[in-house]
Amino acid sequence: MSVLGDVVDSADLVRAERRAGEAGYAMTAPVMERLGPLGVFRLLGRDRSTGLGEFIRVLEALAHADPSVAWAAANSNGAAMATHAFPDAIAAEMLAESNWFYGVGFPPTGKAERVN
Amino acid sequence: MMAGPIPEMGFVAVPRSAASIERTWDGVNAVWGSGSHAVAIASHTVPGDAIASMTAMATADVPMARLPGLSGQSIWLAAVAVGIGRAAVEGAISQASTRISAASGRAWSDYPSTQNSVASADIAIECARQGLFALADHTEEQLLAGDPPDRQTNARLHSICDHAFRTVRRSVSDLFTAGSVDALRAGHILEQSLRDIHGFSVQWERYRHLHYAAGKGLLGDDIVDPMY
Repeated sequence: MSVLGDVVDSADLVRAERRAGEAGYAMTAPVMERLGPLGVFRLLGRDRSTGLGEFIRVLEALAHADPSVAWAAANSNGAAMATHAFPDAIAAEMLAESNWFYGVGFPPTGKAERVN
Repeated sequence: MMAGPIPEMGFVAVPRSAASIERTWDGVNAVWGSGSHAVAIASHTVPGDAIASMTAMATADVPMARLPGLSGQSIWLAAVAVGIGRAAVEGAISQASTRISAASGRAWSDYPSTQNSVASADIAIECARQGLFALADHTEEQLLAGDPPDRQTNARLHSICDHAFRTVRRSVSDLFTAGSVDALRAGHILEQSLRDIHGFSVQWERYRHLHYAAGKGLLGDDIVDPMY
């Protein structure tokens, strides 16, 4: 089954968890545990070949169940997309666990310092 | 702290263990469940190969990397908007199909205002949805051929977002006001949809100049905005 089909099949759980996620201001563990292994948070990572058409349909289906989950998944995929820019070893480390969710902060407000 | 070359703008991969979450998202008025809290990193040394430039990603040999600027973000925001709208239509139909006015004994589905709102919202959102999918598929064909989106397609990637938000805001507002007092309760699907489509609209407004740029592009101008 495609990821889209898996997401549609997961919609009832995502919808049922919406109130709890809203109360806690974050995605709930059951949603994370259901969608993570499906690869929803890393569809655009370098170990995948998800096309734009399927990616957009997945986000629409997630938003239909809970827009906050769709937003979080989209942002995680923005970070997963960045794995294409890293060397193989770093990308492999980033993609080591199939159910990882990637946080992304943009832009940072702090200041990095060079060290030798 | 980081070692090695520092690009002007790029990505820095940091393990979860280096970061702490500051609960700045608590108490927001929309998109409650996204967990969009701030993250703080007190001190962490990043090896040079865990830093990647934006250019490295933009030039990666993968179809999605051929999307210029923020056109990818524009179309996925549109997808979120359309999903919100579709849920609102279904919620309104479900409510109107079962609700009976306590005052008049009349079925909610018999009200012409409800019928009009449901019919108008349903077709408006479904047209936006099918247009969105068709545009995504068309764009993907160009990306797979090794090309960035052509001028017209790239303009549409931004404009579909503006179209989706305008369509869904208006439709959800109509559905909300045509609904019963049930929709005034927190957690009702129409209440959730109303606040979330406006919450996401705030995000799109930050980039709405891209819609105007799309118009300029269609009119023949070369758009130099890196976000476009």
